[in-house]
Amino acid sequence: MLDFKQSYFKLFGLPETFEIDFAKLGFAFRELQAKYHPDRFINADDKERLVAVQTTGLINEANETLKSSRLRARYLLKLVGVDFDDEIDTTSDGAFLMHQMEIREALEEVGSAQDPLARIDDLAQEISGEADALKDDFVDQMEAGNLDAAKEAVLKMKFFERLCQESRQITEKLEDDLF
Amino acid sequence: MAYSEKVIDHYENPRNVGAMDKDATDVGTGMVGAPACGDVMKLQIKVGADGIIEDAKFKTYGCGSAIASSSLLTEWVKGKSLDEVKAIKNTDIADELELPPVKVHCSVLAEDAIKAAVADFQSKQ
Repeated sequence: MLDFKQSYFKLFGLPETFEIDFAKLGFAFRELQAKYHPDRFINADDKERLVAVQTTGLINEANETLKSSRLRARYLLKLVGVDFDDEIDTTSDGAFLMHQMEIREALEEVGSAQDPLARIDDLAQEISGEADALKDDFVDQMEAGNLDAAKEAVLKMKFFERLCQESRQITEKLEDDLF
Repeated sequence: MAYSEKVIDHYENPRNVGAMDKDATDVGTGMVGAPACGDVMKLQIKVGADGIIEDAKFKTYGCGSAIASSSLLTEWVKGKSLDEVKAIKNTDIADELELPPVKVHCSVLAEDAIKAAVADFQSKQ
């Protein structure tokens, strides 16, 4: 049986670091998934079948968590005892929020640009560049042991996730409109 | 999850959307963000010489509940004193809009935004 208490990283034989080997993760995930697949326990008793379902659930959740840079960073912080409370955590970093507003406004106005596709390309690049900088910041803060600052970086990642989604949607819509 | 009629009304006909000059001394600006969902909210108040809020504007990038919470709040704060406004609780907003538990954080965001706006105004005096 799988050890449910080990970290998601150990589950897949990975070191507990932000930078991970995605090929290795994918391989270990498929291997575990096959090994514990509920179909393999069709003839087992109820208890064994239940354990198989729970194990698969854990493997899937661990994989989803490690695949996402934001969730992986958040999980690394949880491992060292940092709590997150989605209901009450708010961000009040004025300069950061002002910049978020500016990017949102720029996304809103893409349609009225001279070349909307070129404009959204530029914005998407700017957004992914800033998202990458946030990841670097997280790694630096973790290395320096500044857990509060590392948490702040993780919270900010969510805003960039939204911006990435939005810019992708706009790009898709513009491309659809072309045909 | 179904939105209440009040949320839909504010979402479809948001009150007081817009911006004021954030550098003006009689204007207070509050900006907050919700890391749970990536919503961003800006709320501004214009305060008269008598300490009463004359006007309020907001701009929110977020879900229907976040837009409704800030829209409702701009209606509420007009004509009120800063102390009255500071006493507004997120639960007042959540109750009025009948927000489901998963959307209560949107009302928290609105409460934080108005408090930040008042603090910004007071820091300028």
